[in-house]
Amino acid sequence: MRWWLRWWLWRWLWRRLEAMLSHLPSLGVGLGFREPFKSDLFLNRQQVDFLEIVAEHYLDASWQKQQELELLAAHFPIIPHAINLSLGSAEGLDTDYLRKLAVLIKQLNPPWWSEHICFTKAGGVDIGHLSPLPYTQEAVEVVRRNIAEVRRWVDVPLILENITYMVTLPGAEMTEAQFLAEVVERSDCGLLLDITNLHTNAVNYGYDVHEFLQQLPCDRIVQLHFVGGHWHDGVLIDSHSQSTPVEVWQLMEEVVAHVPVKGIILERDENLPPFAELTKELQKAREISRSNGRWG
Amino acid sequence: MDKFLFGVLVMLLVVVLHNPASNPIANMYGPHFLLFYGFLITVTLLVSLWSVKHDSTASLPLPLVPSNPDPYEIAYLRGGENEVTRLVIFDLVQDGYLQINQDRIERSLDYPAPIHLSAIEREVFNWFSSPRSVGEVFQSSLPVNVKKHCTVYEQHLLNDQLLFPITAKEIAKRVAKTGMFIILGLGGYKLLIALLKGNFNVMLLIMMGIISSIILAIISQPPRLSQRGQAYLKRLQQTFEQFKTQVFPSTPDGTEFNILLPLALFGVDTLTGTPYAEFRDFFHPSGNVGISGGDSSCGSSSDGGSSCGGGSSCGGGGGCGGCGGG
Repeated sequence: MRWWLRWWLWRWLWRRLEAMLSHLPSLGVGLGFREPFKSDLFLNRQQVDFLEIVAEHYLDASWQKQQELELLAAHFPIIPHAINLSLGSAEGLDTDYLRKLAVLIKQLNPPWWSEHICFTKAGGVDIGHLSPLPYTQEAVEVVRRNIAEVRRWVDVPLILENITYMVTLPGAEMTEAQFLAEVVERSDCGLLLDITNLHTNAVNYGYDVHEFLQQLPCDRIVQLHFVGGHWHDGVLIDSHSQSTPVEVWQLMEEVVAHVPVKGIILERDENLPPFAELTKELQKAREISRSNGRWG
Repeated sequence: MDKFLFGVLVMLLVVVLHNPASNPIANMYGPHFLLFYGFLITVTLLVSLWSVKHDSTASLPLPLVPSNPDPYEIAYLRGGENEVTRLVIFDLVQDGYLQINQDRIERSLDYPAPIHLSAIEREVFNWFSSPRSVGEVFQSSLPVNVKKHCTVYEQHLLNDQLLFPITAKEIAKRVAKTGMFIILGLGGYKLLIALLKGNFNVMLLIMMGIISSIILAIISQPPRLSQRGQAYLKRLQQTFEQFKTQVFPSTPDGTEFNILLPLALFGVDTLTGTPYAEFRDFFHPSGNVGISGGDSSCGSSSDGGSSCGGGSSCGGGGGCGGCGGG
């Protein structure tokens, strides 16, 4: 392809994505849905603007889970959050999984959906863990190629989430922030910035979050995740088990001040507190957003 | 469907009235007639069943789950005035107005000033001027008096088409009447012809007529809730199912709402293992668990339906048995 044609095509795609991301609706502050707090959620519906569901919980859903999904969808905007698509798998994607995911997304018709920048399958083996990718151009190309395949099945905008990791792979050609930027730009996706993951990695690997943020394409950040983890043997673990620490709140303040995020999700999975504590955190996130003029 | 049965009735009358003493039905060989009669009975019963099982609300979208659900309204949806009565009594016991003393409920010795009570609560509280047993509660005029305070709930539920539609009730009634006329009329006519012809082996015919009439009378009772109402109640129960197994704190302070809601949704069985188990035992003696209706101390909805919420999930575990459908 001639250079000017490639340049024109690139610019066209870039503008299309910009238009697409800027037109995404603002959803507000919401919760990652977990079954144990379903009843409390409905009694506190006014305090939850939208829900994020783990897509895997509803792919081969029993009748009860289907009923649950219908109930949730009738009352809240829902964002499907996938875990096991394994966008970083060099051998390509599991089309059976992708087909089911596409059906779920079509059923919910969300404004966007999300996955992680990682791999969970390698050589046909399910690792059962979100594993980091090497920060190389080759890995960027693998993710880009897989996302192109995903787009043949799902035409809803995809946003990609940064993960935490316990190991850094050798042979990096760029920093993590540069890698994230390269992936979302090359694959024309939005970014789901998990500020707790960012904080956790920064603490465990001793880097500066502000420098990290400066290297990210902030105009692509669509949604935030936040929660608290716990310390274990001097390592901060992303366990989704504690209330949000002050450093993460500060990070949220900083990001929301500069980025017109469309949604913020509290992702609490373990050690579930009384629901009032969750709504208190949601309220705090809402105040941060309001004070920065993000939504009413 | 009532027109279909009416058409069948007209056809039978045309055949019979043309020549009452000699016509295809009168001349039909006994066993053949019994087959024909059995076929007509089956059709009549199926049509009658269909008319009470299907209403126009089935295709309507369900109302949203309220974010501030009113336990009294939900109790009324599930089981009518009996459930509301039970809930009010529980509320009064919880707030210290009433107390359970062995097998009776009576006013507490130091009950708070009744001025703070709502109209429905005052109605129930005033009724307990002397100690009462659970049998008295549901055999007295109390549920009827409570129902007078439930008109707002009834109207709301009717507006949302959650109760069995009045028009559908009328159709079901017409179907039942026509069906009964076909069964008893045809059976009676053939019985008369058989006796006139000197055939006295008519026991099977009589049995078929009587048994099918009883079955028809039973199945043609419309449920309290419409299809939409049943689905909505089920949705509410699914939404708040965690409260059914919630461990209540040992003190009732500040938990009133959380207890009233599961009680309204699932009945007194939810109180098992809680500080309020005594209340559960009062309305649901262990001997009655799982026994459906019929107990002298048990109320049933005055609308003719069971208080199990129109045949849905029976209030979550044994809710159909015991007292008042709780």
